[in-house]
Amino acid sequence: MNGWKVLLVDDEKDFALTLAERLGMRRIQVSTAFSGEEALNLLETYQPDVMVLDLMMPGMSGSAVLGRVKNLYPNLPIILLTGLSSTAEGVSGISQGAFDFLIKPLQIEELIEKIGLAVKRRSSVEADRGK
Amino acid sequence: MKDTLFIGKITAAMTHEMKNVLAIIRESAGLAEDLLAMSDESAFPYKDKFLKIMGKIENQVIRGSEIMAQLNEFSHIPEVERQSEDLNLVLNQVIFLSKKLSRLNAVDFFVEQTDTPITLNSNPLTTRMLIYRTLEFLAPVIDKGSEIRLKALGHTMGDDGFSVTIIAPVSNSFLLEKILAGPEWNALENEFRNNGASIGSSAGKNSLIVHFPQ
Repeated sequence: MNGWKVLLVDDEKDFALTLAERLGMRRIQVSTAFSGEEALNLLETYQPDVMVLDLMMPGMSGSAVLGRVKNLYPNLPIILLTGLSSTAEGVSGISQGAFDFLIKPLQIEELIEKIGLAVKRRSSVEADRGK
Repeated sequence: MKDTLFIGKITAAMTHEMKNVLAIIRESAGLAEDLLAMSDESAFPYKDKFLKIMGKIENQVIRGSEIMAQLNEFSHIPEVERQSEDLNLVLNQVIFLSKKLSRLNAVDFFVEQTDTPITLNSNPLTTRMLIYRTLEFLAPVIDKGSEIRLKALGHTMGDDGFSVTIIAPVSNSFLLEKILAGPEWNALENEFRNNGASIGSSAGKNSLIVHFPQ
């Protein structure tokens, strides 16, 4: 997990900042954005390996952000964070191009595993394109 | 908007908020645990005690998440007038939502799962309410420490409806007869009747039969 770069997008600042600190302790570089708009602005200058995106946010919804990001940066894998009993939202997100989803409150080990799988998938897709 | 829809809508929104609260508690406890793991015993003499406390917080977050998930699912029930669903799942959900009732009366509720699904087409809110009301009727009167067992049945009343048998251990049969002759039982029977369902006792078996028409 050394050097993985993650953009974490969640309007719950306490959640995002604490999770970012915990991921940082595991040598994952995390940038945070607290809205969809902020995330899209950040992506103009910052290239993460993976984006972790909350689906339910005020303003631009996670679903809308997912659509925009898949359009602008098709190679960027996105892991969605979704609410209770909303597995359907996560499944729908995957059909819109998300890599995977997790239900809050999440287990950090599970998130790290999914980030790792996303990074691996991205690398293999990019390697295939380079052939 | 119907009252039940409004209550359901607000409950669904609030369970979502609670989910975020639990997520922050989990991450904060997790961070404290990470920091403790990096410190040695001599630097922090209460390390083990704190790690145990963190474990308790984690367990309560899991418990709270499960409650919120079930409550959120329940809050969407009033959105449909009728739906087809497995009666086993209905019983499991009611049992989960009756945990407080079970604890307050020192009794357990248990669902005997059937091998195959028993699909009932009914008003999902009414079905749950009537099963809950039956448990609420029985819990205070049965023997403390005993178990109320619920089992979905197929067609038993010569129509397309489905039944649930509710076995309630009452050690004193005289007491059971007295309970079933009381005003609470009459009120429960009326409640079932008013909702197009029925409830009856099975003599000598300490059990009640709840019947839902299709």
